[in-house]
Order: sequence, then C-alpha cells, then structure tokens
Amino acid sequence: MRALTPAVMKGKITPDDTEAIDQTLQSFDTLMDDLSDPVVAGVHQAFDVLSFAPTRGLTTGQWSAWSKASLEDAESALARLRDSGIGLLNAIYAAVIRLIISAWYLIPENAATTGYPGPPEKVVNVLPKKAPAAEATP
Amino acid sequence: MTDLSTIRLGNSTDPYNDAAARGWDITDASQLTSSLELEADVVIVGTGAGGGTAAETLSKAGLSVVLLEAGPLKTSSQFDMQERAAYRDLYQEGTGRGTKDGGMVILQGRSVGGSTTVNWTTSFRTPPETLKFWGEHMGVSGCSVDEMAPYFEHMEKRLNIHKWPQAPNNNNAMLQRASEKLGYPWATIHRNVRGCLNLGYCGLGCPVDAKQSMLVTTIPGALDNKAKLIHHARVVRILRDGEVVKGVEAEALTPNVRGATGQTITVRATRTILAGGAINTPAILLRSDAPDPHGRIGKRTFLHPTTLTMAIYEESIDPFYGAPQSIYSDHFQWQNVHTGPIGFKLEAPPLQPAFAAGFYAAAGEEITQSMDKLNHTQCMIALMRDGFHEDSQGGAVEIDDNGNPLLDYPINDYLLEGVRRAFNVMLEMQFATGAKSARPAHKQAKHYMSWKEAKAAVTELDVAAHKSTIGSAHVMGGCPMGDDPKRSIANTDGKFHHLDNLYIMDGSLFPTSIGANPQLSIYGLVYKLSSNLATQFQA
Repeated sequence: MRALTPAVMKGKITPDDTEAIDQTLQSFDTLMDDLSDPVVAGVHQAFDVLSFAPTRGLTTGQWSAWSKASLEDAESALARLRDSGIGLLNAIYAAVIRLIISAWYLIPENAATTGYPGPPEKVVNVLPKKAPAAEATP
Repeated sequence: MTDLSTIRLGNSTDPYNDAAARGWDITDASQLTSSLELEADVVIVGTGAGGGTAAETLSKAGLSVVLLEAGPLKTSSQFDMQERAAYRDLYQEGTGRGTKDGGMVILQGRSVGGSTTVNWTTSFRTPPETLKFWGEHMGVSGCSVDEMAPYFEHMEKRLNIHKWPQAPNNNNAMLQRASEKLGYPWATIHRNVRGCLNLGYCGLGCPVDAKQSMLVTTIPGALDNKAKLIHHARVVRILRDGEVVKGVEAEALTPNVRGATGQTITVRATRTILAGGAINTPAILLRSDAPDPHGRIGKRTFLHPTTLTMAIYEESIDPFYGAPQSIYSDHFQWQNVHTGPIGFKLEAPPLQPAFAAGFYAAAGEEITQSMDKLNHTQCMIALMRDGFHEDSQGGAVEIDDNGNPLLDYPINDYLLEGVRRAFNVMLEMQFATGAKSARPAHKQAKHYMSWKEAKAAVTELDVAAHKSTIGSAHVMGGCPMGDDPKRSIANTDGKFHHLDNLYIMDGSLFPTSIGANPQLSIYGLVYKLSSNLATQFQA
C-alpha cells in the first residue's frame, strides 16, 4: 500500500511525502471499517496476492520487497495488473486503485483540489438524544 | 462558477425530531438487552420502496404492521452532505457491494427508507414496452399499461412526482444540448420532490427532506397508523409450520451494523412480506430453505449494467451541484425490445469528488489531472436494459457459508458489445457539444482530444469485463412474478407460489429489468399488491 499509493496518486503525492501517505492510509483504514465483512475479506485476498513473494513477483514483476520498490517499479506493477489478460488481476487492479483513490478524495481538503467548494453548511445539527452523561458527583 | 458551500441549512424539517410527541413506536434493536417477541397482522421485511409503500397501505386498512429494517435509522438532522458518512451509513456494505467476481460495483441503499433515501429522485412509470413484454413473454397477467395506470397515479400524487420545472444543471444541460445537436429525442425527468432547493445532494441523504423518499412519506404515514418500526434488525429466516409461513426471525445488529449483538427478534404474523430488495429478498428465501422445485430463487437478477464517459469542457459544469438527474434520452433504448443488440438509456449522474474519482477507474496522472478539472467535467451514463434478449439472463443470487448474499453476474459478450457502442455514442455526444477532451470508463483508456481520435481508440480498446468500468444502482428480479409456477416465484398478487401467507413486494418481482430507473415501478406495483392484500384481509 505504502509503495503503491504515490503511484496511484501521482501528481498529488510524491514517494517521499510520508505525511500524505500516512494520511491516505489512515483514511483507507477508516474506509475498511465502513465496508462489510465479505468486502473486507475480498480486499485482504487481493492484498495477499500482492504481498506473498511468489505471487507478487509473478503478477506484478516486483520480485523484491515492496519496501524496495521505486515509483517506477510501482507504476510498472500497476500497469501489469491493469494490462493483464487475466480478469482476476484486472479486478485486483480495479479494487486497489478504487480504494486508494477513494481514501484520498474522501478527505475534504483533497476534495477541494477538484474545484469543489464543498457542501452547504448544516448549522443546527441536533444529535440523536443520548442518555445524559454520568456527571461526576462532587 | 457556483458555490453552495456558503449556504446554511437548518434541521427543522426532520419529522423524526419529535417522534415521541407523535407517538411513533420505533425500536433500535442494537440497544436490546433481551430478545424480543412480537405479534402482528403483517410483518414487512425492509423499509425501501416496496416495504414503505406496503406498510402505509396495510396500516391504513387498520392492520397491525411491524416493519423490520437491517440498516440504521438516519434522518435529515444527521445528513451533513459529507461523502464519507453517507457512504458508510446509507449504502449496502459501505458502497463496497459488488458482483461476485468484482466485475460490477452495486450501489444500493441500506438504512430506513432503503434506496429511496439515497436515490437521485428520478421517477418513470414502467415503460409500456416492458409491461407488454411481460404480458406477452413472461406470463404476467394484470399488469398492462391501463391496469397499472391508477396505481401509478396514486403514488405520483402521494410522492409529489412531477416534471422538474427548473433549468437542468450544466451536467444535464449538456445531455440535452448533445441530443438536440445529433437529432436524438430527449425529455425532462419527473422527480419525487417537494420544495426542492436544487442543491444536488440526493445521493447523500436529502438534508432538507424535500425528497419524498419513504423515510419522510409512507414510513411516517405508517407510524401515524400505529405501525411499529424496528431498525438494526436483520432477518435471518422465515418461520414455517409445514407449508404455512408464520413470521420471521431476525438478529439484532450492533450500532455500526457490522456484527450481531446476540439478541433475536421474533415476529409472528398472519402474513409475511419480503421487501428487502432484489439481493436480500432471495437471500432470505435461500437461508430459509424455501421450497424451490424449479430452481428459480435468485436467478435472473438484473442490474441495468451502466457504463460512462467523462468529458472536460472549457466552461464550468459544476456536476456536484444541482438536481442530479433532470434530462434523459431513450433514443438508443427501444430500437429493438427483445431482439438484436442491447438497448440503453442515456442519463447524467451527480459527481461529488470521491464518487467521481471511483467512477473514473484510472490511476496516476490520468486521474489526478482529470480530477483537478472536476468542476469542468461532464459525465454521461448508459444504463443497459438487461433481461429481454435470450443472451441476457442476468445474474444469480447465492449465499456464502455465513449466509451473506453474493450476486454472481458474469459479464458476457452481449453486454460488452453494448458497452463499446455506448462509449462511442456518449463520446460523440460530448465532442459534439465542444468537449476539449473525453474519456471512456476503461482502465486502459485516456482522455482523447477529438471525436476522431476517440473513435479510433475505442475500436482498439480491449473492452473486457474487468477492464471496462461497469456499475449498477438498480437491482431487480430474482423472484419473478408470473402465472406459471415453473417460470416464476410468486403469482401476480405477489404471493409466493410454494408456501402460504408469504408475499414478496419489492423490485425482485420484476421478470426483466425495467428499462428505466425503477423506483416508481416498485411503488406502483407494490401499491397494487398491498391494496389487494388489504382487501383480502377485509374479506
């Protein structure tokens, strides 16, 4: 993920911008919490294919660890998944890029880079009524 | 350009703010500390277009109704128009739902109001071609244009469905302009709104309750009639005594609806109505081992597989603002009804940024540079009318070992021919209206600079299942109605053929796709079926 993020988000994130990568991965984790168990299981399977050294090498050409991958390596890995004649690999490509892209654009300040001024402001946000918090008794 | 971010909206329209004062009986099952047993005349599973309509009709007839909803109750006070919260709270599987092989993303609602809480308000009666096809080829009686008309009229009045009177936003105006330029007939869409502010956030939950979704119309109507609503309650199975259905058993879900709390909700009822939508309804029947002598449950599930093209213009489009859908063209829809290549409907979607980025299906500078110009981007979608031609049999709903539904819908060559043709039609329309560049939703494509370049590129593209981006927001079929039990699941009263007291009242009854956005088709049909059921009770 760390290696692929700057390749997917080229033009927005450079490989040395750890802060932006961390922020995207954090957003990705939140996104995973919002999906369902079957979807999360599918995502894990996709990442297993990309992590396990033999399948990683065969499917992406990235034989050394992802931590050693350059931006060009990551781009070439993505292109191999995208251009493969095997539907499953195309599906993995689609899932990986959709998750990373969504994670990045779900962050409101990133959404603003598209020329989107944002939604109207909701001013009187009545939260669902909760039982009054247990007040500390003096 | 337009900037709506300076508008301030209150929350005074939310009818649920004073639910207690209205005497509404609403239970959040995630908070149950013991199991719950209830009795009712009718239990309805699901609160979307089908469940909401049935609940109001039956409760109005004086019947006691319990409504069960697996999703949460989220209302306009909580609709803040932010994408993340909306996708998390209001969509099935957090918008992660897809077909089994990942070939299509499926957008389906999952909260009180179902998909009506998040749809784009587009309202069409079931097209006459579709009703005729059902009558002539699918063994459906009693659903001719004339027989259906009074039910559509009633629901149109109930939900204030009317032709959108304001100017289309630029995203839709471009579809109109392109149609005019190329000589394609187009028309203005009817919408179920009252006091619409033309903001464009229908897909994230209407913040001002202008959308006449089930959340603010029939469900409040049913609650006023003493119906009981239980949310965070996922129906696991129907309860049976031999051939007679006695109600349902549900599990209480945790507040984030990801897990079960361990509490159960049992509702015993004289009649049981399944209205969980065309994936969850067949899944309940499969989990319940419902009799299925002809192997029909979950088969022939349709999606209106949809593909798209994006174009960048010199002028501002601001596709994230304004009524999401107001113009359509059926020029390519009914050239053949059930022979020849697949037909498609042309529409435009709203493009809030994360949603648009997901649609783009690109990586690297191809997406980031394109997204930098989202405010100048126009999007066309083609919704393909599946289920009419013999080469279009749709998908099959299955359940996994944990009982979770999966839709296996392989994308075949018949569909892919439609994808390539739609790319060409939409790209030509975009260049005809002055697009500077346009790109089909295909992972190996890029922004092309002219129609000539685009046309040549589309001819060369490998339009294969996972390389082309195809999605769906309309799930239909899987429990088709019809007179012949060999070819259908339910009769044309919605009664399940092989068990007593069990009814289906949602889009899963459709024997084919609709060929138009389906909400009004569900409202009209379910109003008819539930009115008939109410009459039976009174008899």
